[in-house]
Amino acid sequence: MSSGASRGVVGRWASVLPWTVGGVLVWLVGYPLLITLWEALGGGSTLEHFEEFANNPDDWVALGRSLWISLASVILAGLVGIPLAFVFERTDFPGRRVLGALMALPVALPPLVGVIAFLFLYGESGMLTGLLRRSLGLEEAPWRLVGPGAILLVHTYSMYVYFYLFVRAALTRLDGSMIEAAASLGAGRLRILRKVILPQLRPAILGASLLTFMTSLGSFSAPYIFGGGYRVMTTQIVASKVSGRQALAQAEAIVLALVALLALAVIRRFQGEEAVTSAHGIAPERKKIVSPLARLGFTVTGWGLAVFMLLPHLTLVLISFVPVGTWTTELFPPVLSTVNYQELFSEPERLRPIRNSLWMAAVATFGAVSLGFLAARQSIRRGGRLGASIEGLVALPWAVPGTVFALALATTFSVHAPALLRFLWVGTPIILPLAYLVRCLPITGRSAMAGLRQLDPALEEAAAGLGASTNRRLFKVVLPLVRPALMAGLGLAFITALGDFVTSIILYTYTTRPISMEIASALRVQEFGIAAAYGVLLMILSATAFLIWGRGEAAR
Amino acid sequence: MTTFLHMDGLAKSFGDTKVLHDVSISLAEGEVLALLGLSGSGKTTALRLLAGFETPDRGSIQVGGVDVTGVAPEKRGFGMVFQHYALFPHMTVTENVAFGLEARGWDKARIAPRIDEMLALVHLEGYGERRVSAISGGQQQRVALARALAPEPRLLLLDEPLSNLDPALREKTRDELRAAVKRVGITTVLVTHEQEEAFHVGDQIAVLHHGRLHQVGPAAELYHRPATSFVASFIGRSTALPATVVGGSGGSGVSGDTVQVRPAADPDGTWPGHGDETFEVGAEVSWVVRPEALALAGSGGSGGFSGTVREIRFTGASSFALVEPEAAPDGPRVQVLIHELAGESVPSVGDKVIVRRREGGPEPRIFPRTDEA
Repeated sequence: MSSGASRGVVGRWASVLPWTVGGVLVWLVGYPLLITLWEALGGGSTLEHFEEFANNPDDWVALGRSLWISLASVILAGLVGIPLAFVFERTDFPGRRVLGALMALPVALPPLVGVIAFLFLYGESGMLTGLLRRSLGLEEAPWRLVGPGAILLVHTYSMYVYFYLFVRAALTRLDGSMIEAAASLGAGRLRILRKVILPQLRPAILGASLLTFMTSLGSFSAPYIFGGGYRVMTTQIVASKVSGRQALAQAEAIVLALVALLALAVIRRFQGEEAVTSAHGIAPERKKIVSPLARLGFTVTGWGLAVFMLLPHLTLVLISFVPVGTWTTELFPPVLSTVNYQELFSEPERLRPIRNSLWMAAVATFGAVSLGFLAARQSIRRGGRLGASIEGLVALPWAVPGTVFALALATTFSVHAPALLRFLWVGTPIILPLAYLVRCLPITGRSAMAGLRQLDPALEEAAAGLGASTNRRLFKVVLPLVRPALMAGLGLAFITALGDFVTSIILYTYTTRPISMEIASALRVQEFGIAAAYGVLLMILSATAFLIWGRGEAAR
Repeated sequence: MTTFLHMDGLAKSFGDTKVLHDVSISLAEGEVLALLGLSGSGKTTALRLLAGFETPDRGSIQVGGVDVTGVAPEKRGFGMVFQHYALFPHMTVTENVAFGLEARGWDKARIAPRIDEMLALVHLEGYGERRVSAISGGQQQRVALARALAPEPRLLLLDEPLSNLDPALREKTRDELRAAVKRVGITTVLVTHEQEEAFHVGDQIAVLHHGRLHQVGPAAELYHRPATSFVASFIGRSTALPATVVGGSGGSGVSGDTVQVRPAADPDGTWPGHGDETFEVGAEVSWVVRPEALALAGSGGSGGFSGTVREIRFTGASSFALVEPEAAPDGPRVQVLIHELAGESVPSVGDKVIVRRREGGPEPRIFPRTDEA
């Protein structure tokens, strides 16, 4: 049956609104990519920049690296995340709940924070590295945190969470009676795992693989900080842009965008018809670990893992209390004080990035939640081709790497041509919030879509039948009911915008620089304490937003 | 009887699928109309057209002499109870009932007493501050009714209002529903797929099948004078047997009244059949006979046809025998009532029996053979 309420209640607004929303989305999401393509083609006159790309071995190497690093990240993150999900979902040991929640922590932290935390712990002059060097009496650090290994380490650390969360959720939904049925038919434990459990986890594993692959392909912070001379596509684009080869950067961006979309299409194909998992059954009983030895083993391993997971961030906190220049050769910092934090909040130029990040993320999040909600509502109400197009446009900034979008926005909004809807916004305080908004749109749009899809259409019809106008239905019935979903989107979007590094590095100016840029510049001048203090601040702000998000999730 | 609700030639398609063909029904003020049909019959679409959630492709809807066909649902002033109630989960019982009053701009001073009145009507006094998720399914159904009735609607629409209740509760709620609706005196349209529910609640029953209206009328009329073979088979028990018209009541072979037919089950005998149309002698018809129009006899005597009992269905005060006619063993089995309280004995499966007309039983009906069943 069609979505009846909309058809019966057609007002002038109702027919114009979906096209308006679609138009805004095209302008913000589709148009910049097309402009970038157009300019990479020299206004349609030349293929020379793509030829330059094709003839540049560095570009091909970077593309190859991006692809294999993404693939390896999927495998490594899966190898860590899937077993962890089984351990925390199917067994029971002391501390399982708290640890299970802690394991999801990396998802709530901006990638840059994780990267610098790794740097301070495992980097050449990191704490653990220093500890090992001294205890082994080595001249040099036992390893250097640089190149593909370092990138993969960080990727595994931050992306196993996707596998962990997705597979855990799928295990919760697993119908316990199905396992009992298999057992009663004579299947052993291995056969049950292989024939009953794993096939039902397939959608979750493929979903996590897709997310990990796309995130790795667009990953910027890790290759930027740890890559050294090892360039992947995202860092290659920024390098071309910084060295003034604008058209080449655009061609590279277009190629990366196409590769990302192609990868998305291929993986989607793999997913095919997702098996419908029964939601009616009761999840299988958790195995209580009875043997005291095994119990001890699980507990120790679990806590050990948690400490391992938290260690980088604990290091970050420690370093944030070390005044700049006071810690040179000692094993542990000789001086601890709050001087870094005092500097952050007393010096206007140190405080400015914090203010910038907060207001820009707030504005962007508000815009992304509003536009995401409008788009989701119109997409669901209209359905058909227009609805699907709106949904696709909302999801596009997720599929296309952030670096590409940043470059596309930089290209589109560095020209004053109001008739073409292009404005000179690069270098003004408008561009960064706008870029954050576009990046957050898939997050807010998707959660709004999920919330609205769960909403029984009869509720709005009931309200209409009781005489409620369109606005009254929206504010009294729809919004209160989808609020948890919108809050979830809001929290995640705010975290993303607040910690953004990828788009900021292309679009920032000195006066609009966000926290992430200040961290990068503090690192460059070796003010580690300051960088760490900013990092801790980002962590606290993100954790607060994560709590709001978590509460929204719980209310669903 | 003055018409209050008039549906005139309503038609509706979704894409290439025609779900409603030219449906016209009239209803007097204060009457309850039950739209009865199987799933996919178009009954829910008809209700949604009335509510204004869908717009008809053709036809019109008049309420109290005013055409409301193009009016938005929120402007129609109708009340509706949804199949799953569609109570607002973030509001209390009181807030749900108040919703329509606030939306229509009622005075605060009038709202509170109206809510009390409505909760009393559905016997939910004292439940006002409960969350709707914290009350039982039957109570939710009553809140939905109170919410729909609160703004004093001109017309009440009920979409399978009892289908979510367990059988024990359904009967009680059904009686309360009818009582409440009759006390308020509101004109009501109810959609249901349950014949019993339609018979209990509806003053008029409209039978829809494949998007077409087959018959409208009171329950007894539908039972005794079904207009189509579908209605005859859908309402109550019956057996439809192929038969040939052999003579009319006037003897000339054409009749609008009672004709003589020869069913395939009884090639030697003739039986009466009642039709609304005119049938030629020799016409192939569908002869629909209710089990209570037939009785079993042992061998001997005259009239009737012989057959073998293939199944006995015990239903309490009476039983039904399913008899395989000797002359048409591959045709449908004939259902025959066995009235045990009247001293009729129940045969065993496999017994040879004679099927005869029961004295005073309802007249069998005849329909053109082409009629869809």
